[in-house]
Amino acid sequence: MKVIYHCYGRAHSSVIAAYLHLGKLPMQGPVTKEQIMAVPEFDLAEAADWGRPYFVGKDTDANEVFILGLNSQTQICSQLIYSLACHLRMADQLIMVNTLTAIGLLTRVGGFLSKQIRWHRLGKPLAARGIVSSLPKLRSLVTAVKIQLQKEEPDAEEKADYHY
Amino acid sequence: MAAIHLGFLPSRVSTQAELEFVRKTAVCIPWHQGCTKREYGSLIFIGHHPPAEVYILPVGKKAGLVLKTFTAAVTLLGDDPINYRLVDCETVLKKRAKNGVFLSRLSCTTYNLIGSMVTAVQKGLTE
Repeated sequence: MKVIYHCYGRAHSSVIAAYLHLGKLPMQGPVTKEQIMAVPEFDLAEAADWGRPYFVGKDTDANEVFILGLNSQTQICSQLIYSLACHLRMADQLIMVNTLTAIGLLTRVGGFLSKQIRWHRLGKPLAARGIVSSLPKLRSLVTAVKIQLQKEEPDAEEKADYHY
Repeated sequence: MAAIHLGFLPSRVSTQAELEFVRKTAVCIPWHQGCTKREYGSLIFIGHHPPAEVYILPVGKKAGLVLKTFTAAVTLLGDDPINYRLVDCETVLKKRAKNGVFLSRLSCTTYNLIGSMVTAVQKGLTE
């Protein structure tokens, strides 16, 4: 299964959601702004990276986790990816998750300052602070995705049937 | 263009009367009035014309990002982008024509330009 966490610029919320999913950031307990800023992909992606899924890693169930920036074309592009997946009969192998729904104004302002105005020194910490405050929502989003993945996962008996 | 590719419409017209006939015929073709915003980003199968399947893809205003996403998604989903020929239908019509209206304002020259573009695509597929 491929899980694509997508947001506006692929630099903030989707990165953290992917890291939470992969267990690189804890699903419980406090996380500091510094921990968020230490994530290598955080506040990194540029406009040229939009539209290209970036592979972050595989989770414990071998699901591939990607991040993707779709700018303001979220609806059209995610519909396109699903449409293509249906065409290739792979729609059941794909989960797309919009992480923008989980973040607040602070991350958006921080992201804008860092990526549009190029005030990285101000924007990045602000975005990180926003992420820290949005962490409960991001965690519940990731939890929902993991539950969905478990539902999609065929049980052992079904898996054995695939060999015949 | 998809309709011309599939042979629903001729690739060339000589007179205004022929164009008028094409315009009337086009009314019977699915999506002749254009796509709704809800359909943006959907691959819509129009027909099969060996060796190719013909689709339309409404991309909205930021076509560049959508097409980049398309190519990346094809690779991600395990297919080869070389299997897809993306044709920008707006290169012929300089201005974005309003859906459904453009055929009524179409001149023979513009129509024939579209037709020749389709012919070029068809040739490219068989080569």
